[in-house]
Amino acid sequence: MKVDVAIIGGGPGGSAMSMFLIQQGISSAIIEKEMFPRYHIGESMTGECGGVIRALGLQEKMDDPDNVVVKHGLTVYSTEGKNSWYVGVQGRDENWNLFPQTTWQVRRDHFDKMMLDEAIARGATLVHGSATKPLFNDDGAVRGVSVKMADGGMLDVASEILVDASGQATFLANAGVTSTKYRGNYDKQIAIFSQVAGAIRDLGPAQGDTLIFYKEKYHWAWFIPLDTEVVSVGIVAPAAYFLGQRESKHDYVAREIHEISPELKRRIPEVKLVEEARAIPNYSYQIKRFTGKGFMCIGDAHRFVDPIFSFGLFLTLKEAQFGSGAIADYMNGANRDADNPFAEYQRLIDSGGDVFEDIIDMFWEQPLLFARYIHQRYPAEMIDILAGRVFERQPNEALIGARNILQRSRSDDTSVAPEGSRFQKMDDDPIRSRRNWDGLSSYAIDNTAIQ
Amino acid sequence: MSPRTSIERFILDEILMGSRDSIGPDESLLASGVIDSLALLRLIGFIEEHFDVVVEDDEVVPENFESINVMTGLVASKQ
Repeated sequence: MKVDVAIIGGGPGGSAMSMFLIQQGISSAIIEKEMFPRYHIGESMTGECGGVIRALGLQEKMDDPDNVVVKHGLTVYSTEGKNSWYVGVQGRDENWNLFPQTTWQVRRDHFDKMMLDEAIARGATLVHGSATKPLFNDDGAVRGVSVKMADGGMLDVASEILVDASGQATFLANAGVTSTKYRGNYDKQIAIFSQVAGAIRDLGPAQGDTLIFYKEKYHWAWFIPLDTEVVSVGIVAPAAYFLGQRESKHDYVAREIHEISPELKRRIPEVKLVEEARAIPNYSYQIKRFTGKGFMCIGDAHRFVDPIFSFGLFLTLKEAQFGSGAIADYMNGANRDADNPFAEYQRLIDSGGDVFEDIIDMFWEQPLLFARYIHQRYPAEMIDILAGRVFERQPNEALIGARNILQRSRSDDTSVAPEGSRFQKMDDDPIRSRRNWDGLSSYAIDNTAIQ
Repeated sequence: MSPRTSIERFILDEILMGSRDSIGPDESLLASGVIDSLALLRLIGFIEEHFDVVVEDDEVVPENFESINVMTGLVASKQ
């Protein structure tokens, strides 16, 4: 089989990539091992997601109240639950003035299926199977991927460009095609999450908002309404804390909902989980060189920092949009002889990811200053970053302040992790090494699988 | 009003809403939960406005606002 672009993964990033390519006359095949709908975490969108959704012509699909909840903003409750701060979703008009905007919470089983069905309806080819290994030209460029089909056969998909949208499976990184995967060195967190029915929401427009309950550093809960009845709830905490509780995931979630914050307990007086409790070892990672001859990674396939401000879904969709443009340029003859035809795309994407990472790190390292920026010093600039306006007019004053206080400098040098970053390599530190962390997280999952 | 009295009055009237009559100059306000982080932001806003000073980013840490005496020290260092 031969296509212009082979896409590994039929999640929103892969489907969006396919649809953006079709808009530019480029054919693609999506390789997906699962049958949709399937469960996936990551239900919340930032304000700037709307622009990408509209660029795909999917606004109408998002107006279906069976599929989405309208989100007006984000409220963070402090430890005792008495006080909170709120950030409304706001857009920027053509004169860069702020105006109130909304975005969405989506059930990922519904949303991801809608996206994939739409991509197929528009002409994408679905290959139902698992990518097993990349294929290379004699010069080392990626020229496609081998697929083990769901029906048992093998299929080679030849491509001009192979897009890795495999999410946290990080297919090309595991195959050694990209540069090394850096692991975060201090945020050994684990997220345990489920869905509850009958939670108490605010009345009016705020009923669809994301709520964050902050207990202490690296220990927090999310509350994301998914429809009129069901709310996604997750607990993020240091893995050592979770292991120390010696509870099943179900019992852990149920207890934490009542202990993490009085306000969360008030909203969920009786914990009725309507989904299996699941776990994700919530480590951060980053791959610095995630594009090259014949390949490109988008979304979680090259970087994952921290889900606290729901940047993930936005990033993968936005990267699909930018990446499709870079691929179209290449197909039209640009950068054919470059060492890395997608170097500019890679630099742009990382600069946006850096903004998110630095603002999240500021939230954890300097929570008081973070709240001061939102309330007093740089409310508009913080709203821009939280909405996802990280690829334009940056660094803004809030980001410059955050980098100063974190003593972090950013450069275009992709060979090293930035000074002061969570991605400085620490392989020789036995406690912080990747091996230990991987062992810990799989231990956590294996030993709490009993409901 | 002395700086100490001004800060004490603001906390009593605007944050504790009259639920107490006085605060000791060295009483720990954050550790004891008398004021939480969002109330602290209002207090910082008050200090900046009332004393016409700027609290710099690297000074926005709980230690600088632990007690009324510590706060008056911070204000004095800026005047």
